[in-house]
Amino acid sequence: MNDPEFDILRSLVVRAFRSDVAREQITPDLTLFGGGLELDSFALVDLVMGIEKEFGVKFCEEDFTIENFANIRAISALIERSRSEN
Amino acid sequence: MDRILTESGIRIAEDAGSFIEDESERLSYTQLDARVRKLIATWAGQNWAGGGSTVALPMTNNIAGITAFIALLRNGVSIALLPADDTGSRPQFCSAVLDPTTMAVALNESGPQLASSEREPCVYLKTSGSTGTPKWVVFGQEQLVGNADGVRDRMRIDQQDCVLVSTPLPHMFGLGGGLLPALLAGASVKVTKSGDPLSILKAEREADPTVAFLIPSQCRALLPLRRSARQYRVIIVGVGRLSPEFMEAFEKMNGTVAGMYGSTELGAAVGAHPGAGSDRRYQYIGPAMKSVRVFVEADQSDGAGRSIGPVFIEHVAGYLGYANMAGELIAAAPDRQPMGDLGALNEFGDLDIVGRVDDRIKRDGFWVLTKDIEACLSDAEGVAEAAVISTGMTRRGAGIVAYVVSQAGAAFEATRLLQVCKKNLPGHMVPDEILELQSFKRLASGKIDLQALTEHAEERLRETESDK
Repeated sequence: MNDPEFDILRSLVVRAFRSDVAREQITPDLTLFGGGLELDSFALVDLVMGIEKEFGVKFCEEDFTIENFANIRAISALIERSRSEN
Repeated sequence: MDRILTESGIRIAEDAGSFIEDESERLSYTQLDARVRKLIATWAGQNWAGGGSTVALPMTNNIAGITAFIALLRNGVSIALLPADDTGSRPQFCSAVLDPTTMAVALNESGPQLASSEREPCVYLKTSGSTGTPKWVVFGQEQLVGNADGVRDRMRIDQQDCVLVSTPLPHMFGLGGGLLPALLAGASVKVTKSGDPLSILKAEREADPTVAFLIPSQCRALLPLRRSARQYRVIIVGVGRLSPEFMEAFEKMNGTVAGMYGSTELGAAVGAHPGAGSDRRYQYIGPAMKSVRVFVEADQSDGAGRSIGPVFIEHVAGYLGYANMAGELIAAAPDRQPMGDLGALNEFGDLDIVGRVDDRIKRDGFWVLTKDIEACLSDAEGVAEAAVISTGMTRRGAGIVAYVVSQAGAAFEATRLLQVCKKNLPGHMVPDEILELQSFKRLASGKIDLQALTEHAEERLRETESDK
């Protein structure tokens, strides 16, 4: 994951979280669901929609797993896989 | 709950290959029954039977929670169900607390030590508190089974089904709406701890459910992630309504939706026939369950010209009454329960809920339904969700404050939203103020916490008046 990609993903997480969580607080390995930021269901949907739009990818239903959206590093790997499969 | 897991019931479920599954293991009905028996034997070995007493059970949506629930009832123990994360509010009337992780029973030193009578075991459920202070509601076995049988019958759940329960079991919708009807039918059951869309999609991959019990917010979060149609036989939606437009879109990708309506006290009172046409299911929740009668005391018309008024329900398998802090019945259930909702009935006897009795606001001599204002704002560009409450008085009558949560990335513009309301609503329905929140505080049921919004609005009103 390069810096620009990380920056975009961090912005999308901040926007989905709808809070004043500091960008700097969000690291590649910060847990997004269940123990970290505790993103809720609608935040997940916003995050998915944002990623698909920003990165021009389309996830399939099997991609929607807790592991794939555990943190920004996992999401980045998912984007990479999705790009290579499309 | 002997009548739900009787020997004959287990045999039926076994023959159909039915299972009970959580997020880590799958058991047959016989294996679940063996777990229950082993747990009871373990307690006996510890010289604890508990018959006649009441035990607090913090219940998680997993096999351990289900096992503990059945074992306690088989031992003649009454149960006060608590959310799994509720570690602080043990009811005083409980003589012990069961840890569902270790299955250890910890006696409550300050609680009643022994059973006071040889009473039939009952189940205590706490109301959500959406309309005031939470209360303990008492059910006998007969009521719980009768209510579950109504759901099983209406939704035609049988041993060929696999039922997904992803709403909390310590609440009536998860327990009486989802789990107990499924067990009664000998169906397979898949429970998930969380009701988020990732957990639901995972459960679909693991158990291939044919029936699901969901609340509206789960449906709204699930639909954008659904990439190809997956047809459930029926998805039962409770604790709120979906709009007809959303139901149509949701059904295309997920299968038939059947609305269900009730309360903690009455369980499931009304529900759509899954086989009914979409017109009926989209516009109305459905007719009364068996052993239930629904009444609407119409006293006004809504925008569609329907006669609407407060809803009352008679339910043979309703609750016994409310309990005091000693666990004793202090207020027996009335024959005809006022639901606190406003409803309308169609020619088939199908019920539609149009709002809460308390959510009607008198302005300029007209009744205003807050949900009509919420619908207008929810349709406005950039708005994800809206909630409307009444506070203070204006020259028009009761004050109206609207709260919105904006869509991600959308700018909040109160003036533009007011213009949208002025364009689409009569003058007496236009809110006095529109405020933005980052998110809505929600009750455990998933409903927006309107009481918290009212307190917020009243606080603002006090601050404004003190600044004058």
